[in-house]
Amino acid sequence: MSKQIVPMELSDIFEKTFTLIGKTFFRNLIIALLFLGLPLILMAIAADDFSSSIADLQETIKNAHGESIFDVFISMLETLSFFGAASLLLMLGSLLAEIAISVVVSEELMSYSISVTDAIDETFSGRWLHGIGQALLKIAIVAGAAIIVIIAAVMLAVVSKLLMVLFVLICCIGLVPLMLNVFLKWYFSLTAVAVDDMTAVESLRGSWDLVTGYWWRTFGILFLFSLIMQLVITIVSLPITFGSMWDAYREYFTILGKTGGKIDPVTMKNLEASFGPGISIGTGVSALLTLLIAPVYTVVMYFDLRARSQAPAQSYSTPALQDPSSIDFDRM
Amino acid sequence: MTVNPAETQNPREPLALDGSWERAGRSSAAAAFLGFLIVGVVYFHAQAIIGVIFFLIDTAGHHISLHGKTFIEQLTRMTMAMKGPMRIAVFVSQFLCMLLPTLWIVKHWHSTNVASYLRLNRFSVPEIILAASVTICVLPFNDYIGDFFIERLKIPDFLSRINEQLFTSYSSEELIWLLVVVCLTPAICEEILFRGYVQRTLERTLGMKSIFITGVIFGLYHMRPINLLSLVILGVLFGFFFYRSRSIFPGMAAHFVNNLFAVLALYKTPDDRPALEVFTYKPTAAGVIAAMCIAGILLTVYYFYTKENEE
Repeated sequence: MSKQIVPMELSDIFEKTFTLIGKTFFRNLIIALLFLGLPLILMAIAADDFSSSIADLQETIKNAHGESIFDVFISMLETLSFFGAASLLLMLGSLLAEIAISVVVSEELMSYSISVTDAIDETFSGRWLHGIGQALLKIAIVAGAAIIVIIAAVMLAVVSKLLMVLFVLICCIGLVPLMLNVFLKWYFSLTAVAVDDMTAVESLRGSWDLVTGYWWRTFGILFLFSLIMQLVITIVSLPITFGSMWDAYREYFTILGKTGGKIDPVTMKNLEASFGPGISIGTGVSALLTLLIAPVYTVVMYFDLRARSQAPAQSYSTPALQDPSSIDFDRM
Repeated sequence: MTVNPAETQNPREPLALDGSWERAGRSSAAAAFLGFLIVGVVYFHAQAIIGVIFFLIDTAGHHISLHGKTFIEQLTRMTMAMKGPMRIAVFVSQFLCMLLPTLWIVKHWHSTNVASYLRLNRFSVPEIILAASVTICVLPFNDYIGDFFIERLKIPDFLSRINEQLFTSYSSEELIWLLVVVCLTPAICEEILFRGYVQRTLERTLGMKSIFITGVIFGLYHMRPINLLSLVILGVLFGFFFYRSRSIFPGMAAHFVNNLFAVLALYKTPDDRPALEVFTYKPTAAGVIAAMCIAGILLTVYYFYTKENEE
């Protein structure tokens, strides 16, 4: 039986998030691996190529003449394109995985259990298009605003350079809080797509309406969650990254021991070139952990905000409190 | 007042679970993870800030050059300059930003009877001696694991020495200060957070599994990948003492002894030679195995000695 979600206290939000992470962990991990597996492998190859080509370019600039530099530069552009494509694929994979994970979590929150295949089916039933749509809309609006500012700055520059500098300065000071405000209000748009199957435009509007009136509360909770997530990612990914860079570190320490700490720049650059795969694995683990945590608290907060917007007159002071005498201590 | 007899150290003194988290009937496992993460976030950020503040106070009025010809020279100068402030930062932040938030969480979320919840109210000298003895016997094995990774990674000696500077003392005054900062402070603060709070809270739903989970969290929290395995082993050991004895003190004693041996091994004369040779002794593989066998026997004794604590 599904249950009615009531507005939650901060402790309820945290408790539900942790409980849901536990309940949906393996399903979410499978989804994350399915969507991120290939992009992460491609990213690792691209990062390896990229770090090698940077080392090649530096070496060529130092030793060779124009033609060789041009060749290396072209090869670096190819590597960059590959890196860009892999990054784009990773972003797309993350977006799709976030939708599927949000579906799993939202169903679990409503006391339904949904399988991985059903969650993926739901994702590809149209939500994925709306998800990409809302992301493109956000990018277009931000890019549009930036283009307007640039055009205005160029026009002002024709009149007076001082005016242009002042304008850019005012824009920078004003734009930061404005962007923060706007992005926070759109924070739940992808969740709205996943949970309520909204279209791209509806999701942006829906998210905006939900956050309005609860901006500081939402900001504070998201800030707390980001700090907590950062700690989890750091302590978990550190040994994994270290292990994946084992050979590179051993080589580094060996040279360090032989030279007494005086490594010549060429050797250092060659070493840096071998750091690529290890760094990619670290990035992959971080991306994976982010996917396993962030959508969960976003969904819980989305339900809380939705409950608040539906019952504005309700008192939220102690919604989940139980009579102490009714607590079942046997389960503790 | 609602009490749960199964929650107590002593059935005659029931523990009241009257905190807000308990009254709302929320998950205790979620509380354990959330509590650890909140304290962790506060502690790590505070330690960095306090470290910088004390570094600025320490260097105020006189110029300290951090520049060196090589990276190693710079690293050495930086480590030496940061050593004092970091020790103060560890001391202050462990008490203010690890212990206090933990006590606050226990009192407000779980029980107003904080001492009882954290199992701070049972003291058994034989259990403490046994726990400390087991830890001493496990030390060579942990050193062996650490050395194994250092050797495989080919970490040069000068880098290891730089890394050890925070725990190295060159005078009796410095040694006493290190005993407070490195031995006593973590034995109290980390044990109250990890065993007293995290393991205690997880134990309520997960039973013995809580020992291993808390041990892994304890290892990860130190953020020292080379020592991860040793730290997890120690964490599990301290957790076992806590679980069996229903008291936090054997774990505290074991933690203190473990850190004490590390500090004494790094107590040096002004000309950089070990002041207490006996603590720098590296046993052979056979010695390590023998020590582990003794640890096993002592653990078995500990197990049977603490049988009376089983509910």
